[in-house]
Amino acid sequence: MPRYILARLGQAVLVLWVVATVVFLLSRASGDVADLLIPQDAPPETKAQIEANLGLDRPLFTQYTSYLADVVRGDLGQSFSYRTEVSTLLKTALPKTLQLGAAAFLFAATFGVSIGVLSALKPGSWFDSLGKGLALLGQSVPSFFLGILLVLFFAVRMGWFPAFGYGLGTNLILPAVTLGAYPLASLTRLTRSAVIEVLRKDHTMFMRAKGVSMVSLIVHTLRNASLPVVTLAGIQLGAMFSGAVIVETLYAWPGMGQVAIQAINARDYNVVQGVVLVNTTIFVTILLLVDISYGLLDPRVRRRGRGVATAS
Amino acid sequence: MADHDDPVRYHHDESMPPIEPGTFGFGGLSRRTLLAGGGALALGALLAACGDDSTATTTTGATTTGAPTSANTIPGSTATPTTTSATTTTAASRPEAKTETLTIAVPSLQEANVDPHFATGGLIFPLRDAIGEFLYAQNLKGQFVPSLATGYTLSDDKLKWTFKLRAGVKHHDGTEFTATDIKTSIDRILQGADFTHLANFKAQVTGANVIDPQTVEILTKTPYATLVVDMPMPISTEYFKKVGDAEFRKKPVACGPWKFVSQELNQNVKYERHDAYFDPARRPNWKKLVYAIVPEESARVAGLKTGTIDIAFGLTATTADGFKGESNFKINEVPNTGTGYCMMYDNNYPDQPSPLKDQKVRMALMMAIDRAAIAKTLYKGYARVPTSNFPTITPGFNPDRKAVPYDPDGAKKLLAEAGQSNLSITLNTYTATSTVPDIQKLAETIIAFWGQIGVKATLNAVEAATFLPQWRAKNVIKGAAMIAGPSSFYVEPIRMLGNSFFSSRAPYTTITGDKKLDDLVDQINAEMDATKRAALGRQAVDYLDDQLFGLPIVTVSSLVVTGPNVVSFTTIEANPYAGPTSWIVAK
Repeated sequence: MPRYILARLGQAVLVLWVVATVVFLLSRASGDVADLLIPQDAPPETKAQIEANLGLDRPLFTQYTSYLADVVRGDLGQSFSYRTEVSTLLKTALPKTLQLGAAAFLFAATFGVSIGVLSALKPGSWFDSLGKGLALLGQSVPSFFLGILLVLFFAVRMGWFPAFGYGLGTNLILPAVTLGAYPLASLTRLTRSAVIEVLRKDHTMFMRAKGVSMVSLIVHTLRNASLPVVTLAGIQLGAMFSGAVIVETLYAWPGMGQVAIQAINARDYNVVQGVVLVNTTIFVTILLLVDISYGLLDPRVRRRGRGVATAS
Repeated sequence: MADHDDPVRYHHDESMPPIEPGTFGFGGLSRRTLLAGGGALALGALLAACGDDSTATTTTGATTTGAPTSANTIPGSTATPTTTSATTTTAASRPEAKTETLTIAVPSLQEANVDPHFATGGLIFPLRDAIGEFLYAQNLKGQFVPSLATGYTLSDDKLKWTFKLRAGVKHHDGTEFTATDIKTSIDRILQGADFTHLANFKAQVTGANVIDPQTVEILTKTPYATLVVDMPMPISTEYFKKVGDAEFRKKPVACGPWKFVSQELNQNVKYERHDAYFDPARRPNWKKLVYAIVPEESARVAGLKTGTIDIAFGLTATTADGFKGESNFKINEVPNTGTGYCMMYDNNYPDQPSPLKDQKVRMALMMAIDRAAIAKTLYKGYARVPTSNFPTITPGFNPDRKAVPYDPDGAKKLLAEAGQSNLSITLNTYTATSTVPDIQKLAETIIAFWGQIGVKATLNAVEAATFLPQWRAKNVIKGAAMIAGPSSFYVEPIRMLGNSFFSSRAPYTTITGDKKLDDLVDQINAEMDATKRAALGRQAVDYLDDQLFGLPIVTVSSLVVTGPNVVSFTTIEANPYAGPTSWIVAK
């Protein structure tokens, strides 16, 4: 298992390096930030001054090696537009995105898995039909449209929740529901089909025939059905942490998405690189944890891991 | 209309008395402004402007095209008639409000730099205007009138400006504003590597000398005609030295109407009133101000309806119209805040042939566009047909000029005369800008009109971050290009001409390569007298409007909806931004 984790860690580092390199090159390929920063009435030499100030007058390779060295030290550089350290910006924005993502995931996982299991236990029932209908709705309604509907009804009409803005109380509910709707639907559908599949397996049929209690049966079934669900949940969690731009914009939630949009519009290379790198790190970490959880959930994976280790 | 006959946008006089009530628009206009306005029409407009606020629907222009109409009431709205600019409310009519906090929601404050020296774009201007104060500030009519300065003199060689400063002005930290604060600001900008957004100022100003606490000299390398407009806001020297540059950027102190309280990244900036603010007529009548960043329009609307916010900026016509008939809300139209221009960009390349170099072709392209229909349908009537490339507030604007008529048959004939009946061009633009809403749709509409006279135009729409550098680089864009110009930026003719039509020296700002226009721009640059500069601006823009190097397509209004805690919303003429707040009256 340790070698399995080490191998996964090595892959994660490789992914981060590739992403950092690609983002570095792509952001520079999109154009010169000095062209955006220079005022229209500036004298000709201003562009050179801006490039010198930002270190953009150095050869690209020098910029790249310097960037990588800084990243390894945890220094993401200075924001051209915010005029502060990128790490300071991200330290402010990241917790807010994580809070929103975690709340949305909690909502999606709790309801998605519950509805999926209950639907699977009584396929064809009215509850199953309701669950399937909700799942279809959740997957087909765009988040910006759902968000506007929720705001209009629950904030404007009923006055139960704030229409926008950051906060950990009632402010969090509508954005979390909006962000969590799609993963909830996905998890519902996948959980339902995975549980139904396990319920049809011989070993489960045998347990039922032997009169095992419903609770024991559900625990057994869930563990066997958990691999695809955990995989999807991991991917969805990563997506929620890194892809909440629309929901953050809709609810004026001051997270990473807002910083990213601002940085892209200002062609603020360092911030864009920082945001992508942090998001990638989160995604890779979550997938790493998912991989590790396979070993905990399925003894066959542990055994395979040992086999690979022995063989190498 | 008479307002725009007045070429003088700012005045200087060493004997300028302390600010009189009404200098900036409240409590009647000053005698000086009145005189500067000149003419019976101006007087008529001012008298109307000085009327009771509840009946103030002053119209300063009377033509149906391109006329600046301040103080519009939205047709069909049951809301109280609203005022936007060039109107007056007496200081006495705005007693201390019961509302303690007003929250103003904006789609963006860009990077929301609270330091007044880092106001790098229009969307940040409200933060600059909250914290600081200019030597010469704009009144409601957009004129620059003495504020922290009482006047200035200029040396014979035009390289030394001596400003007399107002006494008794306090910064937020309680220290007194003096000439040293101006020197501190200028030294900071000249020595700082970060102030490239003030490159023009840095290139021309060499330093400042403190003569006495109320007198400061500004030295320039070359005659710098627009120094008064470009002067940075003074900051508290004592505080700046105490906390250092880095800390000052986060928590600035100056002598504007609002004291900085806090900033939360991409959320809000909070202020409390500077009770010792020196101009009572512009001191807000409420205690706390919050600028909330709410990017999504529907969220701003929801915020208004739930009472979370009091004033919403950046609303489209369709959204604003949704408030019609709601008695708690007022729709405020700020006319003439931005113009969509279709620039005949190919004129930028003197050595390359292009059909757009033929004036007949340019005129045909203009005549083919039904601009009144665009104003009425695309912008729901919250727009006008411009008569000129100059916004109405730019000194030199010619109020007598008539709009080019919509005449597709005439356009076809002109194209045939020019031998361009099968004209094919590219129209470049950006996908979005805050200055002119729906600019891409505007470009698509223009292409449709051109299609009706047989012109095949292809749209090339890219993101602003890609388009603007291409626009400035002058070697990428081919054909024509749509761009939005914020009127309030063009307070000097040179800003309009230099930024869009000037072809020598400035590397990022060229379109015409026309010698006559370049010569006029050179003359304007060298002319220190504002009146003469405006007269030259008139010559330049008349020539420009005849030549049509740029086609002014539509001039839009900004729409601001206010909630029940706001008695009245008034701002500087043609100002699209959420500040200054000096003329907003809270309930």
